[in-house]
Amino acid sequence: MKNIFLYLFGILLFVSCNSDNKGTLIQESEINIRISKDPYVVHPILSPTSRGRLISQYIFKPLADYHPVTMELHPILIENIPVGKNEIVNGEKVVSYTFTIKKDAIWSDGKPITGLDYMHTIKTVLHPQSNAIAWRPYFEFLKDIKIDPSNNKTITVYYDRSYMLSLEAALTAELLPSHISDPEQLLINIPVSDITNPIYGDSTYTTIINNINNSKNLKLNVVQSGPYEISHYEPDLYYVLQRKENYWGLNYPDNPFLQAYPEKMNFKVVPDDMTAVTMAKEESLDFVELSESNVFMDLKEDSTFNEKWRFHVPQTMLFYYMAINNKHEILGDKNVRKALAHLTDVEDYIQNINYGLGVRTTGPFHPVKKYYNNNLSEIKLDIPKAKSILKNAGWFDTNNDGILDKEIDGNKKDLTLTMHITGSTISKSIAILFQETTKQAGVKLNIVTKSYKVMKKENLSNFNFDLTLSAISTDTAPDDIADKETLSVTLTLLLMALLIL
Amino acid sequence: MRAYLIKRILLVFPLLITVSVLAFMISKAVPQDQVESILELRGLDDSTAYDGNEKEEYIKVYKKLKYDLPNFYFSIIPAHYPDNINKILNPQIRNTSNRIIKQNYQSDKVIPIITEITSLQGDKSINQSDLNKFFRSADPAVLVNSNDVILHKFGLQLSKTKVKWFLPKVVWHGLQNQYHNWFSSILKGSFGNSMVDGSPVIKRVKQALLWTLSLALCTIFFAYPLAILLASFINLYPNSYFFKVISQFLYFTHSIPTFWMATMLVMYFTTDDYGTWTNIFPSVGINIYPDKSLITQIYYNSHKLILPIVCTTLHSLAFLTRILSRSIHDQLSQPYITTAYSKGLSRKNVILKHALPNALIPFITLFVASFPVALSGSVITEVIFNIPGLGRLFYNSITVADWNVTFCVLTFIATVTVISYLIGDFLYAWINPKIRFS
Amino acid sequence: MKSLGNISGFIKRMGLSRWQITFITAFLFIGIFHNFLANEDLIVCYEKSKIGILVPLSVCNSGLPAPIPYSANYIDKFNRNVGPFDKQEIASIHHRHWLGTGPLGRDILAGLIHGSWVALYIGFYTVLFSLLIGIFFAFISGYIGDHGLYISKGNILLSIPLLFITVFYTLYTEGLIRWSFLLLLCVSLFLIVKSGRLFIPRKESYAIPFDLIVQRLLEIMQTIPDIFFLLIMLGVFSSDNWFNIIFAISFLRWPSVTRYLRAEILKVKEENFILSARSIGQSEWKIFTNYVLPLSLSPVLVSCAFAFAYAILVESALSFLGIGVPADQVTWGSLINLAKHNFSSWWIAFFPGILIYVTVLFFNSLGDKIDDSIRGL
Repeated sequence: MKNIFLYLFGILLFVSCNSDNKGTLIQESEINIRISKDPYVVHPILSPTSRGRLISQYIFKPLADYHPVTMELHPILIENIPVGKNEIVNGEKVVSYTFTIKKDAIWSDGKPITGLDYMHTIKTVLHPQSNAIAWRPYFEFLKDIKIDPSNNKTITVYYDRSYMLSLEAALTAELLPSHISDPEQLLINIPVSDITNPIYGDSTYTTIINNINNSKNLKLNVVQSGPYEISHYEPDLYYVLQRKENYWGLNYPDNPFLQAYPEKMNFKVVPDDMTAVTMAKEESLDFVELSESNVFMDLKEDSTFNEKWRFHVPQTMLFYYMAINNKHEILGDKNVRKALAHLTDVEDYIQNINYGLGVRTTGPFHPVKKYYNNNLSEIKLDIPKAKSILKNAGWFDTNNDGILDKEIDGNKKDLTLTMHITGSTISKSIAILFQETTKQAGVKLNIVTKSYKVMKKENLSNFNFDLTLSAISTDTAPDDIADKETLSVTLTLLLMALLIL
Repeated sequence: MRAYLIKRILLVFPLLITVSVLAFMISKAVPQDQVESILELRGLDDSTAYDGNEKEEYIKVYKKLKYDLPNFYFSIIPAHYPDNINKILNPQIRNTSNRIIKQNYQSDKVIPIITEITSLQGDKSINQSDLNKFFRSADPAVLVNSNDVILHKFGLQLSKTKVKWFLPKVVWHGLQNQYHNWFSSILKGSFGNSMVDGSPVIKRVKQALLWTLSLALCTIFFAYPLAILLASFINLYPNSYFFKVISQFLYFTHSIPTFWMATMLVMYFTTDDYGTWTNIFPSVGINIYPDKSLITQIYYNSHKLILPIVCTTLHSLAFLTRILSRSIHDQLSQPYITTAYSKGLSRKNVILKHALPNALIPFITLFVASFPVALSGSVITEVIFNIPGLGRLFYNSITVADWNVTFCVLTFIATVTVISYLIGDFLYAWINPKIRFS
Repeated sequence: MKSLGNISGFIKRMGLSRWQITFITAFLFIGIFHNFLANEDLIVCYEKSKIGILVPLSVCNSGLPAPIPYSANYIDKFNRNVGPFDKQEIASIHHRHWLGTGPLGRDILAGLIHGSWVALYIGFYTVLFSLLIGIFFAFISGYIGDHGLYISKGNILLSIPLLFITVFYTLYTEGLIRWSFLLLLCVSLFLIVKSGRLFIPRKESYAIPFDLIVQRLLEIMQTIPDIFFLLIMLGVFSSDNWFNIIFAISFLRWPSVTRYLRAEILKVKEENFILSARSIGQSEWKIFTNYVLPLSLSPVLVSCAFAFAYAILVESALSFLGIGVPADQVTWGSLINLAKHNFSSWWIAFFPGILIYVTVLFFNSLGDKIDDSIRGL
């Protein structure tokens, strides 16, 4: 059984311009930020990648989001985080959440942000014709949304059961301006339970939905709830975000989500780390995110560099694991898996590939989560023990070629395994180190590189693999094991192995 | 001459059509499912069981992109294959049926059985693990050997449809096929939309083209005249120490791999890490001037392009100078040179005015062929120097499997290649009358 | 055999300089014997019961170790990312990392030795395959040409459906039946060719225009740029192994071989001694191999030398980009790729680059030398 470990990526933060003043606007300041890939779609509900969110979070604001330090939901557009109430409405048991949008929250054209905008966003997500597919499953249990008739900034959402992700889903959707995309309030009046009815699929409604679908880079959205707007955009080159005047969020200097210090933010697309570092050295970049920790460590030891730059390693919830196919004829044997576990030097990987910027875990959950179990023991690197386990399981080197073999079903089989990797630097380094360690115990490892999509189709989804290295990114939200979008098939397999052992 | 011209031009079109057919066939043979890639971009991850939302989304996108049409105008397939397998919208049914039919089972009976079996997924009364095993392996024996009564029944039904031998059949699909749609949209000028952001492909390619073109034009503009100058001087003063050194230097730089030289230069000569005297070249990375047009941006960033231009020019300069000086040397052994000397012309006159023009003739084909080479060979340079040109666009689209952009770039380069070779042939024929009349 | 003697005399007359001869012998030696030069296993085992070569240390206790006691993939945990001039924690001077180590602890010198084997392997097979394919196409387009093979009308009518059927069933069947249809295809092709008459037109027979077909094929190959073709083939159809790369590069190179060879064959074809050989009854194949091929092969040798250099460059460029090369194989290009992520370790990029440069320089200069001796300079 393979041990699971977690890596924290090194992220570099340099702030070379002064940003010590909090709560006041700094005139004529400009920051250059590096992103490694163009997200291509920057839209509140349509952008699927977190990189798109990196840019859209300055333009459109959600009702609430997870605070980066406390990992709790923190209100942005609303006053307070609501608490669920069990009620009976029309004879049915429901869970309701009520929240109020801040009184002075307005769009950039001066119109107030109201519950109508919220209803419009949710109805857009739920409508079958919209492209916001990723959000729809989170609203599976949503029954209704009601606006308080006396104050159109107060909203109540009703769920038909208590689902742990329901509050987060209800609050972290970034709002679309309903007075721009649906001025006649057609979508808003569709009842939630009836939205898949084909009568709402005719052209009056679909024109609205298609307009939203096509506004992928916010070209059709002229108002924003956040402080910035995209003033220029060149694909694969840059995004320029310009701050708007008279931003309401400055009334809340303690809220980290509502701040807007620099006047202009240039997001430059630089795919190569080396290029990014040379650009940083000549100061055409102020904020650089790096994904390779050795580059980070190299720069940290550079004294001239250290004078001008600050380094920061935030917690990223990236989780690396090695998956073993239990249905394989050799790997189905528990002893072989145990021996392989004794051959992985997790501490070495963390220390030398990631320069110590990582933490070993005993399960797929982040150590900060309340349900993390510290009592599970970690299996350490122990080559002699691995060798003795294999020997007791019947593996001997009968032909002196350095590889163990055994008779299975009358055929002599060599202990040769194939590991599929995606070819990224970390997976390659781990695979090569693992290959050398297993060689000492008499296990031959072949490494095959494939792109992730092809590997998933050809090997992972039909269990046609022996070993693979993979990573998933979790987030601060509670982990829903039954949700197939947070865990891939192989991980489920691994968890099953955990429970059996 | 005119007949030659017309014949050559007419040959261009079948060539481009063949290339497009080949490219199209390759895109269809690729193991990745286009629709799945698009859905993934929208945030919907595929899973082994298509249920609920994802199935409808898949079918919607599939139909919108017209993937349910047959691939080509006609197909020559065994008789037991279905006429058009793309008609099946559900990807799981399609893939499983495809794999089973390939094992010689009759298609028109297999497909309804598979459709029924697929609807059994999720039904708790059926042995789901056997069902999943069947879908993974596409082997009817799994069903036959299953303990579940219903699955066993289906397995027997499937086995009965096996065929022993087959004849070929030719199916004519007419104009309603994917290739025709794609090709006619190209002729109308639209290459479709890029998968990553939905913007028209032509726009992206145009922007990338401007960068690559400025790089290529500068390289050609510097390399060719310099090569001619150097080659003539090397032959004019064969005993000069200076030119001997230069020709040796070129000989040695000709073999340096460009990517290594570029990496070394970027690492060591763009910053003053290793001492201020090494900070010769401006650093890499493009600066943004968002208020200006793209051309003005390139102009302002021109000092950043110095290093890539130096890298590529050095490489081609070495190659060109050697070829040209060799060519001039060959000319110098021709009889007409002796005649020229015996007429009393100076050495300079003979070489520059007589030998050089004749030596330039094979140079023309090189010059003309250098345009497509410059446009396409810049992939590595652009990746290292972070220039958003055609090569980097092609490389990025291949890794993401964005076929619309890939085809557009490929078609563009193929057309440029063909046209430049055409022009080269004409120039050659025009200059050299012997070829015209052969 | 005669042609071989021709070629070796050729090489002697070329007059390679001293550094070139030392280089090529060193390159061949290091490449072929790489397993014996850099290996953590013992070369020869002294123990009586376990005599053998290349025995792992775990099996045998005393024996002759290799000069460099690390293989290309051996991880030395205590000496990671050390340069050639830095202090190293090693057991003895024998174990010193002369050219430093990479970030994982792999010895650079061992990597270079293994890389030279890869370069030799890929270069050799690429040149071989592109030669084979190129000579075949040059033969049918240059030697036989448009008016070479005359097949009678009746035979053509019979052969078209036969070929169609065999190709179709080869594509759509599996296993043993597929191989038998492939065999049938080859046999039918052979019979068709045999039934034709070379160079002698007859009544009611048509010539197969080989030259036209091959010219068009060459044009198609020309329009797609090299790097694009490689990216598509390797980046898309996954599964990295050496065979894919060799196949892809030789597929790129055969047009230039065919072009040169075809031009030369056309020149030689009309010589008088060919006609006289034909008139005394020599078979066409013998004429081709004994007379035409040796005379026209010389410019092809130039192309071969350049192709070798080209193969090495392309392979390192591909490993640099990370496409198509097996992940655990150490080649010169993959070392430069490592250097890209560790740019404070200059030794990782410097030595492989120098080695690629020198090898490419050698083969280019070899090609030039051959070119010069052909022109009689």
